[in-house]
Amino acid sequence: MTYILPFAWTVAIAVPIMGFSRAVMAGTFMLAGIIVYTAFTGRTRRLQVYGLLRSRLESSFVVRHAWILVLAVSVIAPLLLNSYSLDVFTSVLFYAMLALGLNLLVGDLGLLNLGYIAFYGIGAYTDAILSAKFGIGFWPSLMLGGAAAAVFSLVIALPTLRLKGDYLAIATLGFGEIVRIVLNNWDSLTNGPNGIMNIPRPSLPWTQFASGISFFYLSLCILILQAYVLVRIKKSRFGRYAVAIRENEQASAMVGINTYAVKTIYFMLSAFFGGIAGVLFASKQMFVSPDSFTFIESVYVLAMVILGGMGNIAGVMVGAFTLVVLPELLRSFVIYRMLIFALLLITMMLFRPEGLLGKRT
Amino acid sequence: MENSAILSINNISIMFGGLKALDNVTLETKKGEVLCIIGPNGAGKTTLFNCITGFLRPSAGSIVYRGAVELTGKKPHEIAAHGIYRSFQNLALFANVSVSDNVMIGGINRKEFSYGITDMLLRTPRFRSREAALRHEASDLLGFVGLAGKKDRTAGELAYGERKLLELARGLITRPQLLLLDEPAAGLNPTEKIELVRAIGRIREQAINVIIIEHDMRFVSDIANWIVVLDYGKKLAEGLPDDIKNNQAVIEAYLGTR
Ligand SMILES: Nc1ncnc2c1ncn2[C@@H]1O[C@H](COP(=O)(O)OP(=O)(O)O)[C@@H](O)[C@H]1O
Ligand SMILES: [Mg+2]
Repeated sequence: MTYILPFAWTVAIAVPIMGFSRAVMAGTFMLAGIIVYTAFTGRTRRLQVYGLLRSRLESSFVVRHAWILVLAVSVIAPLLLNSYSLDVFTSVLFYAMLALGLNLLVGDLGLLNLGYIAFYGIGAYTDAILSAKFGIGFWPSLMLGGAAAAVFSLVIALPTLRLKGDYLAIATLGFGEIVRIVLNNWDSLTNGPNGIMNIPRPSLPWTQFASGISFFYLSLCILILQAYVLVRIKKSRFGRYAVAIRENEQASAMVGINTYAVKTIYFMLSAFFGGIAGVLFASKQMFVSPDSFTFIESVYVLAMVILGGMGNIAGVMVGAFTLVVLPELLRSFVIYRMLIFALLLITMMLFRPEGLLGKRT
Repeated sequence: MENSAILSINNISIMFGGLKALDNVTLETKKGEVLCIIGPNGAGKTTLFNCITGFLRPSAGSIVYRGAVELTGKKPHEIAAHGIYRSFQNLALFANVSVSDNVMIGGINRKEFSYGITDMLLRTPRFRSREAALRHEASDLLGFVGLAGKKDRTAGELAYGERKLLELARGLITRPQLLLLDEPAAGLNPTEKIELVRAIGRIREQAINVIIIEHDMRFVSDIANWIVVLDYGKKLAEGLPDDIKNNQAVIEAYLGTR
């Protein structure tokens, strides 16, 4: 039953959209996913041995130091990739930044943000306007893009953070749409739907980040810096206060946590990271238009956080990697991307609600 | 007399719709005292705690702490910073957080455990020593309440009685001067109750004032110096435990309805 039901379900949903043979393919894909997940969770008795294996693995030296391997691969791999694959991996980095930024809210504080991509957009347009129109360099733009996103986040944070979480979800959803609509219509500043072109690439006195590979390394450095900051926060008293608020807001206030202040700071920090990623994105593409910042992108980033394991920094990056690379591997499925994500998320919720790498508190 | 009052509640009232949950209540607790508040269900006892700790704002009256600080209108975290800690009737722990982190979170207002953003980012010696000291004290307090062996569990994994003790340990790390306990003995078995009475006794030795809401008359007479009886939002009586036990109005209103 564990296997047949999701398979049949997937095929049934997919047939009218994809035709029979592709639907069966989707179903098979789903089935493979489920088998992998049940294997890892050890839900079915037959496969419990994998569960045992997994707990052994988790505590093993190799797994605890896996990040070194991951880092080594991310440093070496780009040298071997063609420029198309390099682009894919660069966007993995951008999405990892976004997913990590969103995770501050969704994973740590337990607050839903359905318009997170707006901060990516604000960062991207800040860079586009400042560097393409006013000739301000990339580095000041990087900081200003993050800062602009953080300041704009206050527009939504200040009035809604005192309210219950549901209001925040709706307000952020609206905010995301408003930002996109403004970008689309404020012709004099944003050039409307045509977007802004000729955004310069960053440079340093001794080098230009003109090539794809140098840009990849620049982004990798910034992602590593971001992940480092997030790990440090998580392992400090500040990270504990955020998790306390997620777990019980009344009790947090009662022990002396200024819950409103902590939530506001987290909201700004989350937006700041979104803005930084946006600046990098604009400068990589050398072009921005409102199309890149639609609601579906927000959902996409949220999916990465949930898939990887809310609150788990490594997991969230794995989630970003999976959801960027998987569609590339399954090129024929690209148009059904959202369908597959939806199914993947449902399956995850059913079989591994704690995410691929599990929740971390 | 005036300056020995730790907490003076003067004529506070609060309404919920048409219901007067607190009606012109006045009471006071003096330094070193264990005050018990008793009364039937719905009498307004928890509401009184909510007013003291800033979760509700009374529509009239004042609440004065140490003869100088007006508490009404302050936010819960500001009131906590004055050294007032409160336990909730239906427990308020951080369920998916380790037992030891639950206690450590309570250390927020202790200067000796505090550090800034730079310390955090660079893992300065100050960061490390203060985190270590905080962890150490949390572990001492868990030993004090008898939870030393459960440090690395999550709070949600603990049994009911253990959770109440954890809430107490989290309160103690705040170094409260005034401890408000909402029905701490409810749901505890006899051994755990004895453990609780012992812990409260030791807390009082540390010159912490305690206000307890409690139903169990026997438990109350064991620890209280003074008892206030609430009924339908009004103060029905107050006095020494022995007087209250023999007070006719109290017997009718409270003991009679049990
Ligand atoms: N937030 C609230 N909103 C509406 N009514 C409330 C609220 N809190 C308490 N009440 C009502 O006030 C009365 C006193 O409640 P409470 O203080 O919890 O009593 P208890 O003495 O049992 O702790 C009850 O009738 C309760 O239903
Ligand atoms: Mg009550």
